[in-house]
Amino acid sequence: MQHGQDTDEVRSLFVRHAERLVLYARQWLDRSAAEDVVQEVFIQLILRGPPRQAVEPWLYRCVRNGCISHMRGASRRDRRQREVARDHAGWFEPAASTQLDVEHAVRLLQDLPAEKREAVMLRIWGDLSFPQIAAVMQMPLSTVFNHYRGGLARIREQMESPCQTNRT
Amino acid sequence: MSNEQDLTPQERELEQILAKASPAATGLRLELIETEAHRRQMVRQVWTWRAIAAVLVVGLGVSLVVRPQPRVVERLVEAPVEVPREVIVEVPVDGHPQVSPLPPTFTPFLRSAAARPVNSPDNYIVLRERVMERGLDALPDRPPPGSADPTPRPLDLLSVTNGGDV
Repeated sequence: MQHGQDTDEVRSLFVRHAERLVLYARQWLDRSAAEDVVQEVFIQLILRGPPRQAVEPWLYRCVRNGCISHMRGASRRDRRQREVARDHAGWFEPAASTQLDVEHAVRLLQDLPAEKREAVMLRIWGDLSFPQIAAVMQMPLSTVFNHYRGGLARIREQMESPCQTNRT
Repeated sequence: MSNEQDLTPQERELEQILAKASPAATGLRLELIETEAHRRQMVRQVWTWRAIAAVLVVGLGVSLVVRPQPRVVERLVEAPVEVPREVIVEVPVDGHPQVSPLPPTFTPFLRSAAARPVNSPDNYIVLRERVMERGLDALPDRPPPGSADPTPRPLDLLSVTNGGDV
């Protein structure tokens, strides 16, 4: 593939996925660290060129590995960074939604177990298929599917609870 | 039971509701990312050339230190040597130039033997072929003493003749 085509493809991937990748990384890292990881992934994408397999799962897998590496380093350097990562403010755009408050959505996601949350985020905001999610999470397809359905069920439970109803 | 068709309508509806929340904008800029990638590429190329130059310098140094001695190769070379047939030396005697006699030349025996008439039984080549065919019995008997053509003695092999004639 020629350099110009590579540049166009990277630009297209950046426009479509940069924000989603940062959102995906926010599960583990604070905003600046998540952006650093995503930036590093795109730099590697430019240097090495697009991979032969599907690009989207590759991007999410690279971000996942980068977050894990960053968390390991951060745990050695400063454990406070983990505490910052638990602050889930700024995950979504504060756009008006008739059916779902943004802060409510974040809180719903925050309350999910890690595997269920990751599966839900990859499926809904990453727009990946279940086999691609299984490849990213390195889990069997059936396990990923169960995590996803379990995550949706828990979100529905919280949305239908009287407390949440009163809040909205 | 693990594909997208297995989701219930309620789950699909919830998916659509959640998908309405769009991810927050990031501070990432593609131009900065491309610049950083270009900078790293330049650094990598510089290091590549430095490594190549270092390898060449080390190789040159090693080749200078452990330089092998030139090998002496001995081999036989056949080269034609021109033997002067005659040399005329002018020696002035009493003011009158004179031509000296031809200097003595070395005449190998084999040449003189082979130069005998081809059809002669004493010709060396004929005699050699005969010995190769029949063995030592093909050698002629020792000629009687006082015969006209005695067998050359070892000293005859190094005979010195005058003028290189055979």
